[in-house]
Amino acid sequence: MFKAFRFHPKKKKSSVFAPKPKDESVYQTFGVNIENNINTVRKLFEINDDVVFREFEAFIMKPVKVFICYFSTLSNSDYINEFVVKPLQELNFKNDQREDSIPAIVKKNVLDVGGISENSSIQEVAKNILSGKVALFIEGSDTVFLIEAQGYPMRNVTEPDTESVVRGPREGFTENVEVNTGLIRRKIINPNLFFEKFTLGKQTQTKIRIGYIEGIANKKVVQEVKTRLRKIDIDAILESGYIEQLIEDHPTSIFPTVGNSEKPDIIAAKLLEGKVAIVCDGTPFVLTVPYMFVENFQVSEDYYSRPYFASAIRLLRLLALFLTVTTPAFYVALTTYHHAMIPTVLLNSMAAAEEAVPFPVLLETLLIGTAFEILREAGVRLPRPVGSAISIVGALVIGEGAVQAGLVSAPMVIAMALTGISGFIVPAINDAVVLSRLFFVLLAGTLGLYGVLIGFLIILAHMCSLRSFGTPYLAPHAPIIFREWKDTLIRAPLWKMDRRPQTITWKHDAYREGSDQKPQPPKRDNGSEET
Amino acid sequence: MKRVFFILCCLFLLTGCWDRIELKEIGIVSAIGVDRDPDTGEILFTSQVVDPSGLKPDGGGTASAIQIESSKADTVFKAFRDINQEFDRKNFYAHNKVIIIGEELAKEGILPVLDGITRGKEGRGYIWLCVTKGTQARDILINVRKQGIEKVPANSIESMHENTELNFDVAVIKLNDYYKKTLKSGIEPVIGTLEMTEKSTNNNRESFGQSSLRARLSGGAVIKEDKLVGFLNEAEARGYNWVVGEVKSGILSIPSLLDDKKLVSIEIREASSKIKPEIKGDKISFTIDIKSAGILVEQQGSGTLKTRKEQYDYLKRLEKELEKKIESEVYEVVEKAQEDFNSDIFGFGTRLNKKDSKKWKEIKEAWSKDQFQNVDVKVKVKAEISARELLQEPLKSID
Repeated sequence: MFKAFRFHPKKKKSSVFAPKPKDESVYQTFGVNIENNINTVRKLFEINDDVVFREFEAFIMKPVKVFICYFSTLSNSDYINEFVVKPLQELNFKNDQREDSIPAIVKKNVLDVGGISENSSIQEVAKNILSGKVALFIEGSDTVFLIEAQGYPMRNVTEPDTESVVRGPREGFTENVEVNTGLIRRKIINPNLFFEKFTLGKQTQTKIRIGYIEGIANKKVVQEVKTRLRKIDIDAILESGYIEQLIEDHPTSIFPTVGNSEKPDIIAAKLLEGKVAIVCDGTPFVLTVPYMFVENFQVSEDYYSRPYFASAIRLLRLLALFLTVTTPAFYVALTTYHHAMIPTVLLNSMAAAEEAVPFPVLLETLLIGTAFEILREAGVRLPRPVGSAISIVGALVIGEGAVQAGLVSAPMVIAMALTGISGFIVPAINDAVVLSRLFFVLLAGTLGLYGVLIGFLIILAHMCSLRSFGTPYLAPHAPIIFREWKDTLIRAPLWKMDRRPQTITWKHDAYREGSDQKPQPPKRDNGSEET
Repeated sequence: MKRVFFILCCLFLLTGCWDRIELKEIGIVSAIGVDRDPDTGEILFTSQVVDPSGLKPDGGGTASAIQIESSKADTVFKAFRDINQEFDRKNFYAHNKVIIIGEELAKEGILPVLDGITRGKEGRGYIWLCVTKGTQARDILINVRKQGIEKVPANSIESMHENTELNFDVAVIKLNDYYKKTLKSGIEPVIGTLEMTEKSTNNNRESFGQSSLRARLSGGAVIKEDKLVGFLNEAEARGYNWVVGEVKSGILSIPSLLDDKKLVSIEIREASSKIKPEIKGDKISFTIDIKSAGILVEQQGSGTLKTRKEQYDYLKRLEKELEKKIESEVYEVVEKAQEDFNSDIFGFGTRLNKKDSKKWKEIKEAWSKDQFQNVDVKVKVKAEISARELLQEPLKSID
């Protein structure tokens, strides 16, 4: 019956979004005639203000006409003048092999730069110029030298706002893929750490690197990541979230199956567990797959501090997750259906608080819950200096004022405050938490505790059905792998966690530390020279 | 997906919410009393409903935290419902703390009254059950309003019951235990008794113009075959507690042997009892073994015990006194139960059943008629007084 209302018949997806090159010249290659080449390039970029064309004569055995082209906004002009232009103009190189061609001499003897590549396709050269390289054309040659001279404004490596720690490294990723890769490489000095290059986004040509440690990461997972990345056909990749949404296993689930982090030490730890990292240019958020639910509770600081408190905090995080999802639901269920389950004294004082409130408890919960989410969202988006206004409005108007006016009851505000604060303890799945909280409140309001139970079953069954790149989402709890419980609800001492997680590497006996790592004072040895 | 949506709609819109009651709609009943109205002979049902506005942390001090609602009808359940004709809230009984049954009604039988209260209702089993002595349950509920610190008077009554941990002069019972004991053969319950006393001392409360009538737990009420047959006084209730092993703590005073007319207080710390049936042919007798330990907490008499030996002997003599005292109290209550009430409140029958069920089956029928009355009961008490370090000489003024 719904078909009758569909005005537009479904069109087969055409390739309108993949623009075909207008003229064939893009696929052409440069010729030997430098004047033609210069004209081609000029035609391509002339209209831009920030492009630099420079023709001059170099002296390589004989005067040769050369031409360089780059964008002053993407490349470092000083560097180019110093190491490209100057050597070409000065005559201070030595070459005894007279039979070398001029381009070969330029490459071998003249230029003082690190990265040089050669290309003659017009399209490729244009792309490289746009990513900050310098194109060098030499008279009488159809190959173009592309010299690395990128220089564009970059943010420094700073401490990220999202994952701040008390103990642990402070550095965070920046928006530059090169810097980010370097930060990871600095942590893991291993020739088997590979970063494979991808370029995604037809318009943005975003540079992507997938990182993994050969021999630790599962080859099938790496292969799967590559396959999924190759499938991406989209105009723009502006943030790694685009990639996440295009490669995740369960796009219709509220739970994320791709992880992200802003800190090199976390990414390094995940690579060492056998995960695959996806570094994307233009964002400090690096993705990791496979991603499991327990990772929400694992904070880098757990591993840097001693295990006992870390374990207690893990349990606290679990409690906080439980509270933030179910507190409002339990409040609604108990106050509207199961009055007999509340201790008498508490019931009396709750009844006293509820007495003046004009709304049903369900509506009250939804109201104050919405108000809280509005405040939170406003607090995130607001410029910092105005931020304190939010807390005043939140604390005084919504909290104190609403209770004084008798619009909401004080226990409700307390329950919602507890809910809100607990939600910040596991920030990674905050979106899933907020949605499931609403789901639970509605169930509690219609079916009572029975509804809450049904909700639990639905969510649990759903989570059990999730997978992330072949790894069950609830592993190692479902399926049960007891050995790996060492790093889930509690954090066992480091000397106990001697094997890499089987759930990720799919290998049984991958040892990551030697036996007998438990530290202890040296045993007294009779024959030793120690006194 | 469409189907799932349809099912969810059914789930939320067609079912659910049917038993939804907001907190604002219920009246939390904290105590109920059932009487036989002396004038009309109807059931008089009284409930003490919490008024939450009196419990607000700010400004709740002036308003009363409860309201007393009464109604009359032929049956208990009708009276339950009739309250709503003059009361706005739906009464909610899950948080009821105590059921008080009027003396007259208790004499007719307690189970029929409880049936109306507990059948299919939210009521709970671990609430206190008591009867009134010489007054109506309604009067107790009205007069208990200004008594104690709790704003909800039912909590006061509940706490009074719970205080029996510190004080063994009264016998109390929970609803579940009442059912257990009254439905079982060979044992009869003793339930808590509330009476009204008039405070003659002029304490602070009266100077504020408050009621001088106070509800008080005292002794116990003896039930036989679900009917109230009589009351135990405090000493008898104590004797009863010794036999059934309900003594947790309490104070006994015995003559101080140092000084005439002076007393010592012994705090009982531990007590246990065993009832041993003995069958010799047709003759059945019972031995009640009571073991108790206490400490000396107060010494009125003055006198000096110089040596360790003297102290030891003194304590031995006190122990004998204590044993004598307990023994006499127990004998007294056993005699009263046998002769006055003919009610097996100690559970002799169940003991006998455990020991020799064949014999029990033979005499079961006659047990409550004449068998119980005629059994021999012996009482053995072993008391111990420890805590010798407290045995200091009291302070004395020197003229």
